[in-house]
Amino acid sequence: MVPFDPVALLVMLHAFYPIVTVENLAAARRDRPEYFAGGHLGGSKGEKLFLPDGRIFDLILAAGGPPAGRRWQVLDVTNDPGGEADPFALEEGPIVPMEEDAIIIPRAGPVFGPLVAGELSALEHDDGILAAAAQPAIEFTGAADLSDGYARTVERAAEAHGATAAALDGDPITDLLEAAADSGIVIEGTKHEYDEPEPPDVPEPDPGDRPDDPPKGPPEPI
Amino acid sequence: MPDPDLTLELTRITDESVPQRDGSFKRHKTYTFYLGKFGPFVERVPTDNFDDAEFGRRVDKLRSHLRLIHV
Repeated sequence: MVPFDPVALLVMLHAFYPIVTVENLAAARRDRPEYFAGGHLGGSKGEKLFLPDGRIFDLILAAGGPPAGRRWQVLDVTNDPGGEADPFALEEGPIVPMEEDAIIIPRAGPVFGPLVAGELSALEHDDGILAAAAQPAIEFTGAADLSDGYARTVERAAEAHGATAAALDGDPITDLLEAAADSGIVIEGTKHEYDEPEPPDVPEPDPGDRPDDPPKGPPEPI
Repeated sequence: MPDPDLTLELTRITDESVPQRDGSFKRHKTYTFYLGKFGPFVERVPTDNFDDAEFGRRVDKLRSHLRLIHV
């Protein structure tokens, strides 16, 4: 019989059974019995190892919790076999882990109808408030105001535009075309030689003395 | 903290044949060993489908997890 070594058991579980489940623990017990030193698994969920010498080890931390919270451990609980294995267990909160085997059945009845009815029932004595709130919508005169504004501005502008267009249609443009034809005769910009005298040439400006020329002496007295 | 001594020390190697219910035999090699002061570890390596390096891979895996917990 190989002596029991909790470290060897823990390392073996970590190395070859990365998913922490009671089923994997049972598989390890079946495939590698030497690490369990002749002990058998038991406990409420099968996570405890009972050795022939009477010692009891808890091998799964939070065995009843969600899979993400489970860890392999080899914790001697011989003197406290029924106690919690986790010395830092959290207090029970309002949200509890969901059972893995739980089946979520969709609700058969309507959901939103009763919710809406419940909210509306609280308003059943507030008809006056609702009527007052609806009154602006009932008395809304925006459509009539819009019609009046359209008749006052757009329709009058359309009438003025129509009158202008009719006046333009009745005004022949032949006189304008004739005047345009005569304008070429009046100007005659390209039919005669340029006969005005040429302007005189502008003399080239004196650039003055160069800066490096020797300075000239004072002007001689006259 | 220095790495622990995880030297492999084999203490026993046995060849075993386990008769199956269908009349065949399941053969494996059983290694009993220590890794430094830790152990004994017992690994049973089938000889039919596994290569010779399977035992070495298992030892390396145990070593890596021993370093992680580093007791």
